[in-house]
Amino acid sequence: MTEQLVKRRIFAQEEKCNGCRICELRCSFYHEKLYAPSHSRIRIKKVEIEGTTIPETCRLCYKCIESCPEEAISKSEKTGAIQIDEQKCTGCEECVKACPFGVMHMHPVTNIAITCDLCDGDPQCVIYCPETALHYMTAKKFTEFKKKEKENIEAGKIPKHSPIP
Amino acid sequence: MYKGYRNQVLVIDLTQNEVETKALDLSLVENYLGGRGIAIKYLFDNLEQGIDPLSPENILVIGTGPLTGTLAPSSNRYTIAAKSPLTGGIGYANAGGHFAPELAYAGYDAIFIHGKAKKPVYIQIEDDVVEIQDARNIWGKDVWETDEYFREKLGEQIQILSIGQGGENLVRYAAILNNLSRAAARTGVGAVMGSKNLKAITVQGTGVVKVNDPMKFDELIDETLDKIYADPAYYSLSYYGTSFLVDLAFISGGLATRNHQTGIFEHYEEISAETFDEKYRVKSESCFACPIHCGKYSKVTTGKYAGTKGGSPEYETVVCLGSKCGVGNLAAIHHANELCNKYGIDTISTGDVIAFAMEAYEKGVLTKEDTDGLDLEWGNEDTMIELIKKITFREGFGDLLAEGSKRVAAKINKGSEDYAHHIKGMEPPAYDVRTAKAFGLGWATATRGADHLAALPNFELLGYEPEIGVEWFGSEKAVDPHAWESKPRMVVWHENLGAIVDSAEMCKYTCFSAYAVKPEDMARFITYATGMEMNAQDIMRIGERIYNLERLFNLREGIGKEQDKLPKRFTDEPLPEGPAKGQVVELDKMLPDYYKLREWDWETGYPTKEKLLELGLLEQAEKYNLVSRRKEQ
Repeated sequence: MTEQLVKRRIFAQEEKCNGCRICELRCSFYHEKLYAPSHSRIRIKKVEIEGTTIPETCRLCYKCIESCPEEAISKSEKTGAIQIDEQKCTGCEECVKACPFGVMHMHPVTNIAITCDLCDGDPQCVIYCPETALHYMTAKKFTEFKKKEKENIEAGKIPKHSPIP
Repeated sequence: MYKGYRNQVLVIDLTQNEVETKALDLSLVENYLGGRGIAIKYLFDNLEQGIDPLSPENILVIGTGPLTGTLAPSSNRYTIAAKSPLTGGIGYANAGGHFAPELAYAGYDAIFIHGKAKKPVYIQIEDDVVEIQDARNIWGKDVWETDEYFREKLGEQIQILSIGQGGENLVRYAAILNNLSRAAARTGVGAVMGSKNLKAITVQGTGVVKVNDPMKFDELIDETLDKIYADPAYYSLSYYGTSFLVDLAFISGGLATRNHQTGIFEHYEEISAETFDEKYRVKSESCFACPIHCGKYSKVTTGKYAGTKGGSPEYETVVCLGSKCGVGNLAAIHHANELCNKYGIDTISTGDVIAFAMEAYEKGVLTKEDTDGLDLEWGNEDTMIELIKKITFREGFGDLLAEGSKRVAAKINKGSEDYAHHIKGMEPPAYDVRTAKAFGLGWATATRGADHLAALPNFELLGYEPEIGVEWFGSEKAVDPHAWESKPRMVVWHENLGAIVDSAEMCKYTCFSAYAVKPEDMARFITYATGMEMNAQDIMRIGERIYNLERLFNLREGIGKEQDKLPKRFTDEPLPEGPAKGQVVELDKMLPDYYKLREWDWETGYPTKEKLLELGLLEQAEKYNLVSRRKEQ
């Protein structure tokens, strides 16, 4: 397990997200070969009247691990992602309550907790986001990326995506 | 059962207060595919000839398609159809957003709404629980207030379809909206919903959509995405949205100005895409699962209209509530757009009927005595905004305008019918078709009246090399928007494929902007999604069947060949200036060829027996004596 891998997570640029929810469908398709936002590990939270669209992604804070009375939740050795032992999960929803970012959900069919597993290191939502609003990076890389993007926009090298005033 | 579909429909009788869940009729989707196709078949079979569109006898059909809820690019749309209170013929409107997929996840392919509720109601759908609920306390609220009410009551996860006061007050071009600014706007479907005392439909769906061959379907999505992203227009459409068409229309000399008196607008720069970007654009606001995301969210932050916000005006709106009325203030257009969305009225027809009234005022046919003292001078944005309110609430002069241009002209007379632009009773969209002849023909032949979307023959505008024109439509002229030659063939092809696009419920921008989904690609999408084996020919046959059945519906209502025409200005008055100076639409040269290609009788406008037999429509046509007696010409 390399240190760098463990620290990578999905960062979202809210100001770029257009709310198309391709990420939600990519997620359900990758995991279950079907299309259903209710089965997705990533969700877009919207306030349409204000034009805000917020991709809710797992911050890897591991509060869910602490909250689980069944010890069904653990950290992936490979990616650092949350993994849920379906045999142990009883559907008690303690993890849903514990998650500060609203990204822990109950599967509508199995009633077992589901959350982002980073697609085992190849997150489909990041690959398919048409606005490149999602990034699978370390915090340091993401900060550098944003800085560089800002510079490029100011230099007119890439089209601007106007941030919300 | 076919995959892709949910294989269930809802039949709701508001008079009896009854909800019934029925199995999807497989032969219906085999022959009519979905959405618009299902709608015309149901309406033709179930509507009595000659009914009043605003009576309980009318039926409102909401249809999704076999791709709804999947990742097939931009397959988020739905069709909402009824007999049109504006045209008296087939009425339908189509919108995107996030409503249709939610209905699919709730488990339904279509909703058929009969009758009229005694008191205002809404329909609440939560997966398999469907209930008709009391809506008396929200009757009178606008679309945005209604949206807020339901989000507070039922939670943020729901999708809402609703009318505003426009639909309640039976404005003949009232719209139905979802996601605040996505409008199923044309042909007055909102008035039909209002006439049924139906305020809204709320949906929450937690189910799934499965396709027949997930891996092949997924590969086809990737292939289609590559084509969409490679389209030269992709950047403009995805960044500026349809407002970039304002610039294209101006460059071609077809930016409809002052009720189509000219195609050059002196305030063009103030309504251009660049101005939109600099002053109002905030971000993209996408329909469900769409890689193009042409929708924009915008805000007006300064001046008289500060506080205006929401889905920004589309190209059609910028022109109809802008240059067509002589209004060159994009902030005012934003505000007018917001009002139309809140009140639930069609921005195209609204702008057109006001532009027509302004021309009548210019000519002295209308005076301040007729207009409640309002000054209808070109470019008077205050008047335009005031009239939107008066139309919605049917106050004074607005009560007349709420009837649509055709009926207004019939009332005021004095030669005004010459510039009361409409086809079959519906007001025309933004483009000045004297600069694009296939569009002109498409307006004339569209089954729902003046309609740019029935054909949407963008092919002629895209600057293709002449060889491509030969390859696709047999003529180098196909790539010249001013030429009329080969346009009938282009229009027939687009109309047939367009009927399929509207029935698969994909967006026409995917199919007719990048041409990323051609008939053979659509056949693959349908095959992989549903398991119905289809090729390009099968697909086009279904499209042709849908188009012909809509034609038969209109013929049954007495709308025939005599109404396949254009407003006089487009055929008789050459554009006075600009790059398209001197151009008119040579409709008389194109229409006979069009009829020939359609195998419709040039004398009566009825389809030939051979064509009807081929499409499996002979029985329906014979029942109403709508078969041409002639042999094919």
